[in-house]
Amino acid sequence: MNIVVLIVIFLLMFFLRSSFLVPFTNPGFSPTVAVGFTLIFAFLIGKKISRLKLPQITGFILAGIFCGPYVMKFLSGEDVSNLQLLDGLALSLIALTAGGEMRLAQLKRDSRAISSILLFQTAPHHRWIRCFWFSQSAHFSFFF
Amino acid sequence: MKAIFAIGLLVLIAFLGSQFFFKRKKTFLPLSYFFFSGLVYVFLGLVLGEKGLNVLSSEVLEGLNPLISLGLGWIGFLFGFQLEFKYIRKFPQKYIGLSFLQSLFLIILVSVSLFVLLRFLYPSRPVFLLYGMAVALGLFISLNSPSLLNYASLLIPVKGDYYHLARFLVSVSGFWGVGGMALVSSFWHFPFFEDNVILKGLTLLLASLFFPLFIGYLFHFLTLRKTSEKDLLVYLLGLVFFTSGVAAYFNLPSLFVCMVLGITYSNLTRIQEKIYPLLLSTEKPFYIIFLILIGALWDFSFDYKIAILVVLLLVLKIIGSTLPLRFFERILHFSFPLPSLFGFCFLSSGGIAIAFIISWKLIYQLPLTDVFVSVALITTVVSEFLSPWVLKSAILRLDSEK
Repeated sequence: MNIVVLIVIFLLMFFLRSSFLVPFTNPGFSPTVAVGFTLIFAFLIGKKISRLKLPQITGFILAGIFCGPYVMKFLSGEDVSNLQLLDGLALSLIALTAGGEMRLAQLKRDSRAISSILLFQTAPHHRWIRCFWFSQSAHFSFFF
Repeated sequence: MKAIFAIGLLVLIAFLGSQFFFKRKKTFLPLSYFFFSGLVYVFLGLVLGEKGLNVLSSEVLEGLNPLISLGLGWIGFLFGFQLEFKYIRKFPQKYIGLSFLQSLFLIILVSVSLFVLLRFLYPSRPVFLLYGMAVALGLFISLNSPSLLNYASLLIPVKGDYYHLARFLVSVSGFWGVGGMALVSSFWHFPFFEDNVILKGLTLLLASLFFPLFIGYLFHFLTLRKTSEKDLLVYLLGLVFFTSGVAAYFNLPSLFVCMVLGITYSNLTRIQEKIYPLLLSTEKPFYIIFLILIGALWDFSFDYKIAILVVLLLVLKIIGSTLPLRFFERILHFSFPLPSLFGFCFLSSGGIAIAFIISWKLIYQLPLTDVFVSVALITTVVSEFLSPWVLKSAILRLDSEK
């Protein structure tokens, strides 16, 4: 059932963004349409992705790339910049939730494992990926 | 950074407000209901807005446009969700007839009287703008909110026929005013049509009816299978956001479009008992944030013309709600008399009227729009302040006499 709704919502958005409707629209509310659509679309994609044993956030990111200014253009660059306020708010909420999950006693207990993961796994990975992106920056200019 | 701070402040106020203000001891004292109705947050928004401390500056408000649209959609959805046909059918059809006649009479009375007065007060303005404002004020004044009767239900010892009839009327009457707004905004669309007005207007009216109907069906399909509360809230938020956003994108009233969505979904779904607590738990913080944003958006102005309009609106509301009741009673063959005193139960207009004002402001960015907002908001504040007293003297006397 969800897949049907997903397709219908997608087609509806495709229709709403069609060029012949543009003269009848108020562009000031384009970000609001985008938020509503993205919320439902990304959530449904996230649910589908989780069935493939992947984290829901992968689905959210894929939905964002697909709907964003470089693929389907449901969200224009201007929409994305207008929504930075919500972006900041969402980041603060994520950080707050993550902080709320941390228990100081547990962190102290696992400090040795955490520091070794940070030193030998996270930091080298971070360096390798950064080197790779810089070497390929000409091909992926939209990331920079 | 300032925007994040503003949002943080809004969320904090909404949280504290929903914890304290709505839980005050209920009395018929005007100030007590004034706090309960949340109107105090409009003034807080005015203080935080551009004309006050400038925490909610115009740039911040522009960024918060989606939240305003969501607030309008949410109120529309809540209002529509209560209009379950199963519930409405329990009451005699003449009750619906009375609600319709009462609203129609008020709309015509106020529109015609105010058009004459507006021509006198603003002689240099184009006539079509004055027509628009008079009709907007007519539609606005016809709105009633059930919140005062909900608030007063524990304070009324004898709940007789008058109480139940009043409760029904205030729950349904908003439909006519908001429906009227949809009619006006389709045919008197902004930016104004230059040709084929009837055809284009009809297309917009049908779109504002069928689009939410379609989304309502989609929502129903999504929730046919067992859905967790978290998923339900995301679907609800997403679809209300989407529907109100699409309405605003085409300069149609989000309030009406989401009301139709609410009516559609409430009459399709079988999980009302799961949705109601969800709506109730999210209603207050949303409403508080919405009221603060409205206060911040309000370009407050007050002069003798606004004062005259406010006084006349209140007088016309009282006249229109009280005088024709005997006549309606005869037309509809009511089994019990409808004395003029009964009309005093309909002074309160509440949240739906505030949503109407902002919906109008978002659609019509015209020279007189800010005057309309000031007149309508001041009228709402005064009527909410007076309504507990008036309700007490009307309903207590009527039901105890009967």
